[in-house]
Amino acid sequence: MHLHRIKAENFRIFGDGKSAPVLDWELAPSLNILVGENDAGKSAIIDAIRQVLWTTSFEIVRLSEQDFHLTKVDRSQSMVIEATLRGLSEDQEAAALEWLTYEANGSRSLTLHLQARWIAPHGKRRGRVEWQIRSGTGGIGPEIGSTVREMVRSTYLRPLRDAEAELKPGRASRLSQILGAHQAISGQEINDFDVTNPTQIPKNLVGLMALAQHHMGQHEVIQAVQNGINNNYLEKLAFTGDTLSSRIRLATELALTPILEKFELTLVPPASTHSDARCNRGLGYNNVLFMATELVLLREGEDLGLLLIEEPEAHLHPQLQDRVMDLLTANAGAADKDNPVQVVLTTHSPSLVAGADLESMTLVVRGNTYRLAKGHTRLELSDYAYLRRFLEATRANLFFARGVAIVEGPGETLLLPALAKHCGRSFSRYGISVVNVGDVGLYHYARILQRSDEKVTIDVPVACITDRDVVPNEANYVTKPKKGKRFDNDYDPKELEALIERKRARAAGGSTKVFVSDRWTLEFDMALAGCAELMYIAIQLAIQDKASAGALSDNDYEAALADLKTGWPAFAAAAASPLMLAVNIYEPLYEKDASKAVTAQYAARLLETGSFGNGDVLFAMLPEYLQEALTHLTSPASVDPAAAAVA
Amino acid sequence: MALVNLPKLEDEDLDHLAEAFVDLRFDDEERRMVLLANSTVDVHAAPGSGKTSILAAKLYLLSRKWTHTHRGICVISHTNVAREEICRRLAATGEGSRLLSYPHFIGTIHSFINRFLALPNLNSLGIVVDIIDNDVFELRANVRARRSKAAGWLKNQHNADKLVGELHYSGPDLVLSSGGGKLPGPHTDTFKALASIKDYLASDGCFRFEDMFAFAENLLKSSPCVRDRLSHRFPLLMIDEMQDTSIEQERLLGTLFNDQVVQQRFGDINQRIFSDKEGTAALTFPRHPILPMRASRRFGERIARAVMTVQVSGDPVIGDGPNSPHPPTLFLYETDSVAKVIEAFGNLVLDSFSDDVLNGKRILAVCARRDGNANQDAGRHIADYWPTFKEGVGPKVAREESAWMLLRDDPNTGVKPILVRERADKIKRVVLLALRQAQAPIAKGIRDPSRLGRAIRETEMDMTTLAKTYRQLALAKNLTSSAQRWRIVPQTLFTALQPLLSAEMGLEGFASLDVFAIPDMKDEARALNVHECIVVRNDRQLRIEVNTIGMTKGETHLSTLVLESFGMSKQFDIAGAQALLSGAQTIDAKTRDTIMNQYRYLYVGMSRPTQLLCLAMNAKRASESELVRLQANGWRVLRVP
Repeated sequence: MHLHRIKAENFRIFGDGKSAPVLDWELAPSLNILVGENDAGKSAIIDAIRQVLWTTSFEIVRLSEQDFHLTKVDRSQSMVIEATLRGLSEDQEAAALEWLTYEANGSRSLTLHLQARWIAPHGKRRGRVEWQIRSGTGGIGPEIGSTVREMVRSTYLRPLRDAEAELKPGRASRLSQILGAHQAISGQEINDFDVTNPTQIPKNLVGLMALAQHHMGQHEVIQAVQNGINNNYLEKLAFTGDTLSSRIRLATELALTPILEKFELTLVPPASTHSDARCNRGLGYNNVLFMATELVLLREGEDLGLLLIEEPEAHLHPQLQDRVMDLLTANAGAADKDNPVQVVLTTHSPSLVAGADLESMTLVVRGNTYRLAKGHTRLELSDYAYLRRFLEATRANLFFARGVAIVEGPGETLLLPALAKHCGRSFSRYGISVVNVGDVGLYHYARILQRSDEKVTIDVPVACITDRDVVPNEANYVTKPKKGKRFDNDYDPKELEALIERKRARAAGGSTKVFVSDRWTLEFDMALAGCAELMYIAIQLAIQDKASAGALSDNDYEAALADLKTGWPAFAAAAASPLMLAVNIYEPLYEKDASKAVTAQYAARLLETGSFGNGDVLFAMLPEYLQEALTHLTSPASVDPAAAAVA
Repeated sequence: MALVNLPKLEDEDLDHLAEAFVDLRFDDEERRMVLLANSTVDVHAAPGSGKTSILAAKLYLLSRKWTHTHRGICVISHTNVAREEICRRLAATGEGSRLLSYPHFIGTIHSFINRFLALPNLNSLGIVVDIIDNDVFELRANVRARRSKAAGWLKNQHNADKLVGELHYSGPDLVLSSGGGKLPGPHTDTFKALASIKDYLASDGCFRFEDMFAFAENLLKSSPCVRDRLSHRFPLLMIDEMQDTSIEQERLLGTLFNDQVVQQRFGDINQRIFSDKEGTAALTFPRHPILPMRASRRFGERIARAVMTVQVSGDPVIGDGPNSPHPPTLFLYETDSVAKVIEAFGNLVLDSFSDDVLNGKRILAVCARRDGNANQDAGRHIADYWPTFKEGVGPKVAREESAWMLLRDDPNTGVKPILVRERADKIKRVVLLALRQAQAPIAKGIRDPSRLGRAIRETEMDMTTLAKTYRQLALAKNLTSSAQRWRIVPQTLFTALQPLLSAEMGLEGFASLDVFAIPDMKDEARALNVHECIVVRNDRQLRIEVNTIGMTKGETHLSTLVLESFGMSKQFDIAGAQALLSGAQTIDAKTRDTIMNQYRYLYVGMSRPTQLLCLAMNAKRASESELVRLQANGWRVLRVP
């Protein structure tokens, strides 16, 4: 049995589909990872599942006023959460017969439909929540009893959990449940300790406890204290005819459960420590231990094997996160296992996401859920395997961004955020990630954020920024290729349009727009637009940097900067036209006398000084395609108060 | 699917019965065998042998050892009386009460079919059931038919109302059929019009009882695995009153459970009194292995001797109960004095028993037939003896659509504890009907009264007023005693519901809604006491319930009067059985079915009393020689002048 679908209306962030989206999320029977920025609704999805399915940890899950969706106007009075379970075993179907839904395709499902109403306080009556769980889509079936709800409890690991406390001994401890659920446990409750032959070691757990009790009870210290209490005090307190005496025991009751509840699970201390010493291994490892424990319990269970984990990355360093991801992937939904476990986890960790399969991921954006599995996105099937390898941690943060700039080189990666910041459109304020896809043409992976259903648009603006790569005729330092087109005069206007369209079509769609440079490359176009001096100085600094093997000291830098500033008017005047000036400025980059990445760094440093323009002035100096890209990513500009202030 | 281990009952388990069922004895060998039986078996039990008690006892023992949390025992009973009896006994014991809820089932075959097959199927098809009731369906279908394309064709049919009223789906493919006559060919426009009436009402959630069987069969066809799931869920099936299972029901039961299910069927073939048109030979009860329970604990040897004369088959019943000092009695009445028979019987009962003995005990006058119009001298059916018996005088009113019918006093009011809940449900239904007919927007699309409650709460309306109104009506008695008194119902509801009604709706308009209409009754008093006769003598008073034999199956009375009736056999039952009763003859195995059926009715009726058995027949039809023989055999003959 697995959770196939969860729907919610007017629950927390989820609305009624008009002012705010409803939740309607279809799950994979195996691993499901909810990614997205804070407040996107990830935890609300987990909580919706907990409300309708309950959890095995017997915590109190209760709806409160705050769980009802708050619209702009007021709080919703009623909500609905509906969970559909599929793949029931024969036993489970038999147990839930009167509540089953017979699907049109001949399969059967169990739908739990929770309806809740908020009754506001009035007069002397306190406000309260009224709820009911019925079966069937829309809750048209009969009410579902608690015995069946017991069958469909999920296992919930809260964020920032105290793993150590969870593994401590005590009543109904998780460990005692795991031990008690083991298939070889039956018979262990029989006491095979023989008092007449106390040296014989019993085989059963209860017998072993009886043995320990017997021998320890006869220990002189225990005996002495016990007799002391009995003879000196209790005897004197007893009424005539009554006896009042005490005994000291390991277990008050010789039964299996109290014994199991005495066990504690800890990690073995590291080799350097004495093996019997109590040694805390830190929150991270205890967390891993705890997750392993829960997985064992789920695998042994007969009921719903659904594990909900919020932020499994808590307390784990990135490499351990990777290992945990591998463990969860290996355990979730394995078809060869009798009791496949279904896992739903939320995460903010790019490392965790980078280690996961896209197939299992669902992007959550402002209450909307978008599965990234094959068929749901506009990405070609063949691209999935490549993308999986490609998505390392820094790139994976695109799933947590409010906007994404996809660029093709280190120049853009470093320079764009600096330009945006000084134009008053700071990427960090807008929550925009820059993803460098390195090679030319790979930006079509932006299609991962486009839906196969064209009517659906993910509300995350994506700007793919790419070079037009048509060399100006004036750049005589560029050699003409034997075949193919390279220069402005190789293209007629139609061909040029087709070239740009080809680059656009590779990725554009939905909220993704492709911005092709106006002429050649970012640096050239910058120099041609309004940033000639900036680019000239940055490139020249990069040349000197290269000459000094990347160790340009602060003093050398200041000196070089002063020289370049002085020399700039003459350099600028020497060019016959702005175009020739840009061609001249760019030449060292083309000739590889300077690195684009280092140039970008110096350009960023120069922008910091503020003497190369700021705010709208700087913005107006940018090449047109960058202006458009920044506008796409950071509009409406009014969202950012800082941007508004600059304007 | 693996065979499930049913709890094995042992002799020492029986010791627990002494604590849980103090008033019953289970000490004889026959009962012990039945209690311990662990495999498929048929129990053939004489009337009064405590079949239902032993079933309850057995369930209690099983519940003590039942370990499955998601698999249960399925108990099918044919009457709600038997079901309530089983539930009452189990509820009285701590462990037994577990059987009253999930994963077990105790109920009628109809409720089983509804809960596990028909309703899940309908819900899966997106249909919400509003009401399953033949009368309601008949009314609504006929209203629609008059406006449909079939109206013209129907005008020429003599049985049009029944034809339309009994439209139902049948079989796994939900073929449109009618119990009220032959339908035109499926390609005709009339058939299509009738089908659209049926489909419309189905989408509106209004069904006949037979429809549920069709939807059950439909599910079994589309999801054949349901049979295995049901068998898995209920590894043990127990059926009470098996003799009342019809051939269709038995066939359906066969399709519901596979042969892994242990079936224990309890019944008495001699009490099989429904009239099945065909295929009675295919009924399997009782089949081997059979465990008999011959001894009746209800009555003693004296009554047993009278009862066994009309016993159609099997070992003669043994009277193992306390013997009665009162001889069985035959009342002979004149055609003119037929209406005085019950009163005469009442006087005899008052003479025979002190008030201490009568206290809380039931006295009944029963008859095989409810009504009929045979051209014969009086004594044809109950109405001859008790003219107010017939229900629903005047135009036919669907019980579930009429507030008058819904809010009549429960016959048990003041006699024994009754659940207010049933009445509260009826009031909620009346509220829904009233709002619907008043076209209150709130009732739009609402079928289930409980959903109406939710909808009302979502308005700003103060629920406490409405709740008080519900309470007031639930506790009110004699609402239907007079048209005067009845006014209070629409008045009270109007006051409470006014905020939900449109401004134009006044009290007069509200009170004249169909739902509040009083069924046309020439004599209002006739609505009163249709089911009981009070005999008053000096300072003593006796209440005699009047009912059909069919309705009193499984009951125990202190004294029972079996009233003669004229049956399908074109014979009077008691007159026809005089020679058997007197001992002059025994039942001839070649007797016609219809006459055999009359014997079985007599057998059921006569086996009710613990102390005093009475029969009544028209003196005209009595044979003098048989009367002499009867008296010689210990009968008392009394005349009603």
